[in-house]
Amino acid sequence: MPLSLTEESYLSVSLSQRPPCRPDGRDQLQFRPIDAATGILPTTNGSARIRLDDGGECIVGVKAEVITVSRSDDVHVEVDCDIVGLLPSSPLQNLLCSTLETAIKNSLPSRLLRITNKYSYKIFVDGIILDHVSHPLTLLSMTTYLALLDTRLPRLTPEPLGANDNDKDEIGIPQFSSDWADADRLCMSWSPPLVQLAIIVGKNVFVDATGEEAEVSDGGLLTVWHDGRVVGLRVVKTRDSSKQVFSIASISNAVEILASASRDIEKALKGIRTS
Amino acid sequence: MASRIEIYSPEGLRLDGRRWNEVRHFRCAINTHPISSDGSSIIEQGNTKVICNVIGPAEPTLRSRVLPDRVSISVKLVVAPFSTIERRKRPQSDSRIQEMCSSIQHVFEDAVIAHLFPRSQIDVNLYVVAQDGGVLQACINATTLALIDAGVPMYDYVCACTAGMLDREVLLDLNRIEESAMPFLTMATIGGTRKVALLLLEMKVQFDRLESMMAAAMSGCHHIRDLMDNEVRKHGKSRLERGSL
Repeated sequence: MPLSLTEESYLSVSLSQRPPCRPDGRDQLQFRPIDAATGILPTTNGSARIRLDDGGECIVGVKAEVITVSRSDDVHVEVDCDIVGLLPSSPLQNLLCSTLETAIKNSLPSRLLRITNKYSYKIFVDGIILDHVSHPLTLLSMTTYLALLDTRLPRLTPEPLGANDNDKDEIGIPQFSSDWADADRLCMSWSPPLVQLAIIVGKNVFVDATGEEAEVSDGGLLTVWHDGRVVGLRVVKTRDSSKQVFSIASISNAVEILASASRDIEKALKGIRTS
Repeated sequence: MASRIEIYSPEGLRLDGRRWNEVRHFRCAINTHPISSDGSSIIEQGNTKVICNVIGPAEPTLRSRVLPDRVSISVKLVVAPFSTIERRKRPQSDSRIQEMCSSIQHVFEDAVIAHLFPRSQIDVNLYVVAQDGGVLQACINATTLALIDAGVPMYDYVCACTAGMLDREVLLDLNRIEESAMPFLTMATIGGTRKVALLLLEMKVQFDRLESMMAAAMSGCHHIRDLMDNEVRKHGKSRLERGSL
């Protein structure tokens, strides 16, 4: 949204001073309250919806399909998102989808999706971002995290007699139990990755930036958090005319801040259980 | 492997245990998105869930859309890839989606008191997040509620319902399995009157059976009108009590 020169100068001075002062009085590491719900869609294997108090909303549905595969260890995941109002090929959408897809593919062990030697699940993660005022990456990632936590895959019947591969080969087309309560959670032994975005203003780093804060930022850094550590990093543009020049010190500072924020967010998201 | 699915048992029970003239579980909420839109609603009819956001009446964004004597309504429909049993991505240019958008637009162009807002526009955004039959009906009902929440003056509610014909039996408010098993029509009425705002039949049906389908659909629409009216009144009362009107 367009800011006047006065507003821009007020925001950029308050955010660059040490200690910084955010317009809503939050700390650098403080998130706004979210309204989250899981298990809301009956047609999906897992679903979640998060609403922010600035009107941002994201719904993610996870569906699993059975596909035939060779013996390779590929992880079959497809992430797609639809940001309402933007064309499907816009750079923002590409950034969101490719970041999440790469993060999930690199962290998900392929044995969790395997059914037999010939068959495997393919996971489709589809998100709709109904409205967003701030950068939608964090919103989409948190919703995807919750949806994957909620995802269940139907159990194979009959149970293979032995645990070795030979018996699994003899089963033809897999049959599944139609009792949904009997389904296995995808995330019993695996936690999904979490992608977080922080903005950098001068020497300060802020998480969960509002639209106005992002308008005066120098740029943003996103981190991919999985398994207790940061596994991926990327510098992103948070406004149209940013100069994107920041020092290595501020990048490493931002990574540390995002790591501790991600740890806390993961703990908070795991505590949300509404279904 | 395929078991015979009995759409309508001899005792008069359908797949989900309903009788021929019972509508599915109807749940609606209005003013669900107070920040991102001027009027909003969420409708659940059985397993079909539709979210509607209305922005307007507002200054038109495109000169080409300006109508000199009335408000211009544009409808956008987003069907989520995970809304059906089979995951399928549907682009905005899909012909079914475009058709539904234009039907909804025509219905509401007449239902809204359009001459009160010349040279303005109303944007209706519909999101289908789960489908189990009766998508057009749910979209129309959701749009009515969202327009009411936005304060757009309308002549009356626009309520929609589907009715199908299985051999000689009429069934009301079909789900997905029933829709694929018999010819059905979607009807939208103006409130509790006998005026029909939309009638859509896409399969072949014998002409003499059409009237009973239409009569059943009309009574379904009137019933849904009462359900929606109850919710609107309840919402209005709670806002009055909270002092936020």
